[in-house]
Amino acid sequence: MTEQDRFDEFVEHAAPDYNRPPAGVPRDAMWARIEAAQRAHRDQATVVPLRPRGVSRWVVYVSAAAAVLIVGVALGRWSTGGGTGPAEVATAVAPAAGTAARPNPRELSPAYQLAVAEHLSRTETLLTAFRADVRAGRATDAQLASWAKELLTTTRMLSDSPAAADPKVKRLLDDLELVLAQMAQLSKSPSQLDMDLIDHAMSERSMMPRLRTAIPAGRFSAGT
Amino acid sequence: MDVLRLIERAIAGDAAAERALYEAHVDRVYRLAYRFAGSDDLAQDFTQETFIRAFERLKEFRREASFTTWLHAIAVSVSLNGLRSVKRFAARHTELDEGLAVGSTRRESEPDLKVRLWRAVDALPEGYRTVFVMHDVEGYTHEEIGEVLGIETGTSKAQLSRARGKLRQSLAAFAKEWVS
Repeated sequence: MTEQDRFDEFVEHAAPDYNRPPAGVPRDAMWARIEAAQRAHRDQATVVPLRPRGVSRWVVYVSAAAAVLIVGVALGRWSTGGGTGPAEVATAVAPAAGTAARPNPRELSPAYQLAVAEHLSRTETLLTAFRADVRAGRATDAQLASWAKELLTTTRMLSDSPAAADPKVKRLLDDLELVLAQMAQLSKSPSQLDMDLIDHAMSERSMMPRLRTAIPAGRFSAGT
Repeated sequence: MDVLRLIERAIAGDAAAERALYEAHVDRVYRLAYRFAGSDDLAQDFTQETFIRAFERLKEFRREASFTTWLHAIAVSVSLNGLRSVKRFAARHTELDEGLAVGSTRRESEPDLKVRLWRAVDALPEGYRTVFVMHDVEGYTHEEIGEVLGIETGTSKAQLSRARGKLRQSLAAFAKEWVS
């Protein structure tokens, strides 16, 4: 047997262990993300023809998100008894003494739930579109930072409202705030490194799976 | 169910047909992506992107070709493009890290011959590594590689031979170990 043959034999023996994949394939998790990306893609395709010429898709999303939030918060305040000035909201979110006074998340008004779900759904659309652009090496929409800023404002409003009484929602909103704050600071033509860093921050905080878990299935369609 | 029928239904917007196509092919696509990427996160990303693109372009699928070959061609393209981006990103970080680590010394234990081989595979030029991974690691035939990569069978064979030559060269200092 020549040295070449022995080398080939060694390679044949060792090669199957090169980057050996794990036994289990995370089929369901990947499928959930594929479905979400397709949904986001379809929603964008639905919105684009409807918007006036020259108006970015981000602007359309932001306007819709802001409108839903305002209606949601207004309905929430009305349905929880009417006397809901800023002082009451502040009491509800006061960290130490306010814990007992905070509303039970299970009793949170449907209007707040609607506002949160709509907001998360729209944020998911932004993050999915951003992620797809990063991974495909495409330039992001020039209005990305401006949309992120609007969503950041909404995130902070929700974070300081009774909607954040549920600790899970609160944590999610806090993490979203960090990611959106990074996006809001992006320039109009961000570098690939900046985008990769945000993408990394999203993965590290498992933003997409947590968002998708928090959004009630089948009820909200982002971007419409 | 027949693949062509599933494809027709998926093109018509049947989500169940898309899911059936996904279930039938996801394991092999993920496995291939993992072999290229060497990480679960990246392999998942590449697999997802492969199916998203495939479903978007399903109308472009020419029925005389094999769906598996068509899908694997997308998977290879997505994985290689993705890895290029990751390498660019890593290279920038390495520059920063090297800047910080000036003056420090690090000693590594000697890796065994298998590990040396894997490192040498990582260092192969992209074309050689692609054929090596598909043929020697994943067991594709040269005909299949030719169809997936859009190259002649002979080119695939030549690339593999050069890849092995390079690996042998890289491990020449340890020839006694594989000969023994």
